[in-house]
Amino acid sequence: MKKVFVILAVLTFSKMSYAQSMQRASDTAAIKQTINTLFDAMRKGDSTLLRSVFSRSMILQSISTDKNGKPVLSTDNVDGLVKDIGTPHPEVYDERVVYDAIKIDGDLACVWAPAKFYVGKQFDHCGVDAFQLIRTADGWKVFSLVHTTRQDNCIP
Amino acid sequence: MKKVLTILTILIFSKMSIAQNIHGSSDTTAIKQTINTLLEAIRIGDSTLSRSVLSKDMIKQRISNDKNGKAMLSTKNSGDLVKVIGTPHTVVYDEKIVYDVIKIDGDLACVWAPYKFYLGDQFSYCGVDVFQLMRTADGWKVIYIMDTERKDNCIP
Repeated sequence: MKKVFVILAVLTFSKMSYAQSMQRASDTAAIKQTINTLFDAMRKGDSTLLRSVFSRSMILQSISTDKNGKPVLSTDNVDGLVKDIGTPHPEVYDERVVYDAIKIDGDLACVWAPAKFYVGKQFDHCGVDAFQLIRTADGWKVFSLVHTTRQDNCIP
Repeated sequence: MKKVLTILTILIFSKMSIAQNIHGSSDTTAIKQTINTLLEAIRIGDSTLSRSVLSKDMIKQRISNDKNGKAMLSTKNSGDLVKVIGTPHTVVYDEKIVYDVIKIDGDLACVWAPYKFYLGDQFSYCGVDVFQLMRTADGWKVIYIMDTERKDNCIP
């Protein structure tokens, strides 16, 4: 009986239907899972696992500042990143993100996540990762990542 | 004296500094202005105007459904979009958007905006636009556009 009241309350007080909000919660969990797998793959240096979360036509854009403080945009495919991660390195590449905004529209999701990057235990740089994901038969895949890179003024 | 106290109070009780706050709201205005200019260029079919707000390396991706309902990803570059805008067409391409979320980190901004696309007065399709912008010496420029496309279940 209590359960019925809870469900009725959810239905009444929420703009979404119960089914929709359940769907949204499970999408959000699946999206975070994809991104968490990406960072696990980076930590483990597992390029196969890393590739499994990317869409084939993945685009990587990065905004950093040149020595005059001018913002510079670089655009790349994911092969460079996969190669970097897969090449044996002595220290763990440890990127720690905080999930801020997650927006979903049908088969598209957009995630805004402030990040700090550590090489082993040593802080290296920070910024924000903006992920675009697509829902596929094989789960949510990252098809675009835009990120900023800087040494200070970190958010999380 | 009263002024000084007021300023001090604001500094103490606000998490942001005044400078940051003003910066944030003027950034938001400038970002919307860039996107509004792009949509205006699309409406009037002005390819030069559209080029003024697009980064040279801009990438545009779209998620739509194939006839089996499977999500499909297509990718275009800046030149493709400018060409579509500049090619003479009889009806006005009128994209009406609603600004939902605008996130800014340093020189990167991410905008989530549900839209409806009209050919003249005729509704054509709807979805969500995701714009990524970069701050340049010449103002905010669009570096990436992602959108979903469908006929119904429109948001705005």
